[in-house]
Amino acid sequence: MTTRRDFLKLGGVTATATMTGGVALSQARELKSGGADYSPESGTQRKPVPTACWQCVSRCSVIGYVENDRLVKIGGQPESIRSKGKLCAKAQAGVNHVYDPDRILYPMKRVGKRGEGKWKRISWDEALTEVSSRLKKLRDDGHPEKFMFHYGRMKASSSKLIKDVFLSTYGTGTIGNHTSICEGGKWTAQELTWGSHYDNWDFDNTRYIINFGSNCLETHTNHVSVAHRLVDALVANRVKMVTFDVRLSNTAAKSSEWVPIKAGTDGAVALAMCHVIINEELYKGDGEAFLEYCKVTADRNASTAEKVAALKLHLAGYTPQWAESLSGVSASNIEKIARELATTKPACVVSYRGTVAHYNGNDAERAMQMLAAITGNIDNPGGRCRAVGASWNYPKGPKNKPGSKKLKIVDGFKGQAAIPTHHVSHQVLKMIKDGSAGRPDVYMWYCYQPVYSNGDVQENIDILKDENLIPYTVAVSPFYDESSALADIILPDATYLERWDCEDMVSPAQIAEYYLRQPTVKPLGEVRDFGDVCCDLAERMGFPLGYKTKEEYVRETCENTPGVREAGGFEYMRQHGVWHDPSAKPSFYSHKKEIKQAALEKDGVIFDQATGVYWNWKKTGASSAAEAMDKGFVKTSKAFKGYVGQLINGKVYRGFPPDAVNKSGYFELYSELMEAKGFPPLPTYTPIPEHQEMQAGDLVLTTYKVNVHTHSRTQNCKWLTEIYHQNPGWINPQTAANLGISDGDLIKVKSKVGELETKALVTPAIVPGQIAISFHCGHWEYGRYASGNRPPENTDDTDLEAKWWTENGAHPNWIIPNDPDPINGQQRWMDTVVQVTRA
Amino acid sequence: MEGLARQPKFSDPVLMARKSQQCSQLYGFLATVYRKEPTTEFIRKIKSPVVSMALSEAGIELEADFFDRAEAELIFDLAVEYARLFVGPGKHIAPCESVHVPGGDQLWGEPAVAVQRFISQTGFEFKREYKDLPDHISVELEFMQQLSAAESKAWAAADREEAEKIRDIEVSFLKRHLSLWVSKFCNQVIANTQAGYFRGMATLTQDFIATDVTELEVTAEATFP
Repeated sequence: MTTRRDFLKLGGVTATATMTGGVALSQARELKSGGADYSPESGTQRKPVPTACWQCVSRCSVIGYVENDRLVKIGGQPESIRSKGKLCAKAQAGVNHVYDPDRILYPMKRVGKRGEGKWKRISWDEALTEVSSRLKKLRDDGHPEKFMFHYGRMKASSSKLIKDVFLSTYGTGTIGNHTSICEGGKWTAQELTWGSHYDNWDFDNTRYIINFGSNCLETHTNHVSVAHRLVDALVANRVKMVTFDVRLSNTAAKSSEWVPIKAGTDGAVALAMCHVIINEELYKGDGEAFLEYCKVTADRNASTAEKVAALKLHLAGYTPQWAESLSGVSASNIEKIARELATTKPACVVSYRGTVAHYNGNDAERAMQMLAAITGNIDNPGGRCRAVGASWNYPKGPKNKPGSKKLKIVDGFKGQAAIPTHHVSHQVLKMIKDGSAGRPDVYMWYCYQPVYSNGDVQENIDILKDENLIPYTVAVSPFYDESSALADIILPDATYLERWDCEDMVSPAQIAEYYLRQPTVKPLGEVRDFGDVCCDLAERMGFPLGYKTKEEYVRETCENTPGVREAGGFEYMRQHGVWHDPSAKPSFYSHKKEIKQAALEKDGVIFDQATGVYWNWKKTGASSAAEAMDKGFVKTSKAFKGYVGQLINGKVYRGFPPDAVNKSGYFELYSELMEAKGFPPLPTYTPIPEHQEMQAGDLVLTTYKVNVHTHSRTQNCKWLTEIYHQNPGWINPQTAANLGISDGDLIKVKSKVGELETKALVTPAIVPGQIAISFHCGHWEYGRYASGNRPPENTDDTDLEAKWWTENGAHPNWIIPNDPDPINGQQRWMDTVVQVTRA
Repeated sequence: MEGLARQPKFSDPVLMARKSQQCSQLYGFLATVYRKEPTTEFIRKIKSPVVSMALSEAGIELEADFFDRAEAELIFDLAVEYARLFVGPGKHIAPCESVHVPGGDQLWGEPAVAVQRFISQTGFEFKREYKDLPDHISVELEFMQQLSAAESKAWAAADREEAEKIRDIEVSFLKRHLSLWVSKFCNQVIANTQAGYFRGMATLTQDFIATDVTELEVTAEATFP
């Protein structure tokens, strides 16, 4: 039988007999990979508007295509060195946000009881008069801190304008974020180790990947930019990837090997691998060389041999057999993978929330850092690299800022988290309820879902609803979600496709990419970008920011930023959307850069004998050189801001500059900061307390995300919710049999804070003793597609008639308590002990 | 609705001018109803004997409560009801053609573009300060108000050709847009409100446009330009 191959061969030999070029056809248009789009009806070119996504935190550069003043399509940005023109389903469905029939188009004021759902439309003037009069009174009374601003995602120019300019000029420091329910724990662990707080995995150059708990093909925080590189690595470069996960995620499924592992034991396996690598002397070579830059003992002058000896001693008990008993991963497999990792150069050590969102997540991540360090895979081509992003030169706003006051309610209760560098946002409402650290009079949230996104949903509702606890609530949101429903005023925000921003997300190319978000269409109805609203509010309160709109702020930023300015500034960015320095080389090994003598001789620079750090005391909280010398680098407030360089074996290197805590410029495997807080200085395995007390039949609940949704903000996008709207509980057949549960059964999942119902998905794609339930589902507000709440009586939406699904899943946060990692405050999404029964 | 219905073609121009003007006024009145929550002034006008009697003659009976309740309370409740019905947040009946007709499915769908194009092709443009959607029911009603007024003016000037031309545009707009969705929209309002004011206004809207469509000899067809 003739095969396609035969025909192709025929094509090859007949080519010579064919006339060059076509006879009847000429190429009308050059074929291009993205960057242009045409109306299928009229054939006319659609107007391309380079902009940036905001569906997930990756914030990819994209192009919106506009036809008849409507955004009709979102495509990839081929000029982007991050995404290289690729984009995900979420990005494409951004169109659904703009034209969501349930979006809020006007300012709304509550007129019934809070949460009753009784609203009145008001004008912007009325809304801002009311909000500004409350805020101004607090400020005039000397209590700006009683205005709490809580954001979920606020990045780059939005963050600078709203936080550093508006809130800072207003004078409140009571500012919450949501990083602790995201990946704050990973960031703290990294700050303790190498100073900065984001790692890029150089899949372009790697030869081996070991992955603990990251579903990076589906949902990483730098999703598309990382995922398409990973695909290239696996397919084109035939790189081996080993994934440790409790669940067969799509990333695990596409890996060379999925290693099922019990929840919360990633750190144990990583330490056991370190044990193998040190004991078998596999660190020799790159790992040994890197140890020069590492702090491994209390003595900063320890030799490499002493460092190895200290590691050997510390890791002695962390044998593969010991790790097998905890994790279920066989000792032989641990040894095999450790050897592969240590001998395949270069290699990438990957980790994320599956590893970090546990009671012991901080040290699990530090163990990952150790694994990468002793194999010489830190900040090297093909390894685990320090992040590179755009450094926009943002305007600072008014010069005379009052100095912020704040309520101490964003870092959790005393003793809950020792080093919460990214705060403990999931405890904010509890702290407000407690009241001992004060309560805000005005609680405003922006791009945040305090009710739905944190654990223990019922408690969130109860607190936010209580006017005695929080007298005045303001939601800034384009959509009516579960939290907006508990607001007193809703300020309708522009969607990201209707607003301006400079953007800066990490570039996996290790070369900074500068990119712009610009409106693809005019904002619908009366919605306004909250950046513009801040300018307006400030003006009303008598402290104009110097900008009438965010567009002005963005324009000035573009004109002030070296590189972008020379390329053409704001107009260039409007036209092209992205810019990077064409002469820039990928950034690796920046720790090896020697600091020039002139920098060490600058006014204010002193040497700290204890750490070996050169630092400029004038940039810190010290009031004099004498005070700085007396307290030393580690104990001086904000000393990290004055870091200059690290003395290592007689030379001063850039090292690993601290970014949030007063660590030295060493890669600190040994952390004196941890030690000072009463924790072991070297990465250590601590069992999860609740898991030690489990009764027969108890399961551990693990959570995850899928490729077409973010945690809480994409479910109004009908294209996405059509794809994913049900989240059954995954249970291993062996576990299910013990519980008398069959595939498809309705089950009850109960924890100490609540109970939910979902269906059982009985599958070997999860380890025994676990149940996995994704986020995303079970909205009870957020529009017709997310919640299943149809418009009143029948339907007003012809497309809704085509909605074929009736279920919208279960929200696991109802049953997950808000419990922090005791070191960094990370919400423990993966630790909850549950009982599962047939419903 | 007989008193407000237009006359067939080729009638007395004076009569036609008066009838078109009345239609224009009623379209304008209804545009105001849906544009935003009712103002005190607007409610007072409705309560006036002239208007309330005319409404009654048109078969629209507003309940006693509407006339008897304290004014401030009534205005407040109607504002809340307006938001609940047409604005949200949360479940509401989107007052835009795009959401109701096939091919739309969302805010600012193809039908909104078609409405915008239709309106601009007839020489009208959206005011800079108008920020709402182009296919909002109040826009479509206001557009009919303007067309009817222009028709009335043409009849008054005995410019039959111009008047007939404008009537054709009215027919076309009703056929391509307003009549395609207004009845369904009004039915939803009637079914979902306890407020006699909005039930009454929805009934009035539905009846009037149905009559106008009939009088203008329009057959609604789901076609788009």
